[in-house]
Amino acid sequence: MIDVMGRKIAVIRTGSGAPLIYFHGFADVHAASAGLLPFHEHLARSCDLIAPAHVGCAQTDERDDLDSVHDVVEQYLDFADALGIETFHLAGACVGGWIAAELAVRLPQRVRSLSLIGATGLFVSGNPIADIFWVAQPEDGIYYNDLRHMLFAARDPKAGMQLFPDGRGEIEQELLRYRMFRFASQIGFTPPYLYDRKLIEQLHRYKGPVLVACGEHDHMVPRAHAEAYAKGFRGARLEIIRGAGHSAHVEAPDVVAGLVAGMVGKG
Amino acid sequence: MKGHLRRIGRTQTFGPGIPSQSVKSWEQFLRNTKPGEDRLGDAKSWEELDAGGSIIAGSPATVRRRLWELIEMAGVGNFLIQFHFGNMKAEHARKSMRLFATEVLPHLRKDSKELFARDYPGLDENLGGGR
Repeated sequence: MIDVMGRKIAVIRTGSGAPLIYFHGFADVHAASAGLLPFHEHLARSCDLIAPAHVGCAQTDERDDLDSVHDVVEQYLDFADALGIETFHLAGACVGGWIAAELAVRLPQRVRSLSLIGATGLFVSGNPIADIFWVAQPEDGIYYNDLRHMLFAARDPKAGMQLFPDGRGEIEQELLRYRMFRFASQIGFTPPYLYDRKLIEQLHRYKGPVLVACGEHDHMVPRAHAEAYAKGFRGARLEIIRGAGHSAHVEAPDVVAGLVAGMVGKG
Repeated sequence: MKGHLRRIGRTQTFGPGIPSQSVKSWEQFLRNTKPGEDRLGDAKSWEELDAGGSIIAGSPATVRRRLWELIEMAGVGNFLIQFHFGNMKAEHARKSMRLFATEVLPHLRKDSKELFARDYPGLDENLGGGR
C-alpha cells in the first residue's frame, strides 16, 4: 500500500533492477487475478516491477470524484513522486496501456521507455473499440464465451478459462473483476469506448523508445489503433504477436515479457 | 426488449460494467441470488405469466373472474389497464378494449359497487355522492 494524497493505492512490487511501472488491463493482475501472472513473474526477473491497482481496483481506494482518465493520470503523477524514483520505465496492457501513454506524454523526461500491449485510448475513425461492458455480463447469467472471445484469440483458451470461468466463483474473485469493470466504465463508458480524443495529437511529446505490441487476433481493439500509436509516437516499434488475441501478455507471456524486458534494457 | 436482454442475460442498467452500480450493491446481489435463476418479470410462456398474475388474458368471463378475484382480495377500486403490448396489431388491441368495455366493465362496476357499499359504508358520501 502506498499513500498518495491521503488515498491508498495497492501495489505489488517485486524483482530488482531498473524500475518498471506496469498498469494492468482486464485479463491481468489486480483485475482478474489477485496475484501476479507468469508474464509479470517473467518481467520481474529483469527489473524492479511496480504494479499498482487502478482507482477502486483490488485494495486501492475508490474515489467518488472520478470523472475521466485524466483524474487517474493525475493520481499516478503523484504516485510516481511518492515512489521516490526520478526515472522509470512504463508498460501497460489494454486500458493500462492507455494510462501509460497518457502519463508518458505528461512526464516525457522521466519515462525511460514505454511499452503498450493491446492499448486502448485512441479514437480511430472507422475502427471502434468493441464494447466490453456489454459482454461483461454473462450469457444466461452463467457463460462468459463472448467476454473470452473479446479478450483472447480463442473462445476457451486455458488462461481465459482460468481468469474468466463460467458460472459464479468465490465472491472475492467476482468482486475483483467487478471492480475493474466498474473502474473502466467510469473512464470509458462513452462509445466507441475507452478513448481520449485528444491523446493522438499529444503522442509526439514523448520521444523515448516505444514498443507497441498487439495480438494478431485482437477482437477488442482493432489493429489500426496499434498502427496509430506507432505512427503518433514517431519511430515506435510495432510488434504483432502471432496467434495471440487482445491479451497477448497472457496468451504469449514469454514473448511479450521478452519484448518489454528488451525495452527496459534499452532505456 | 427486456425479455430479449434477460434471455441473453444482460441489461443496460444493472451489472458489471455499469458505472453507476456500486461495488457494495453488486456484492449484495451476488450474495442473495443464484446465477442463471429467474428474476422479476422473467417468464418462459404466457401460461407462466398468467399463473403468476402478471397478465390477465382470456374470454370476457375469464377476465371478469380474474379481475374480481383481485378486487375482492385487495379491495382495489381503480385499475390502470394496458391493452397494447409490443408489436400487437392495433385492431387486436381495439377488439380487446371493446370487449372489455361492453362485456367486462359493466359487470365489474355493478359488482364492485355492492362490494364497496358493504365493506366501506359511507364511501359514497365521503366521495361526494359519486355514481
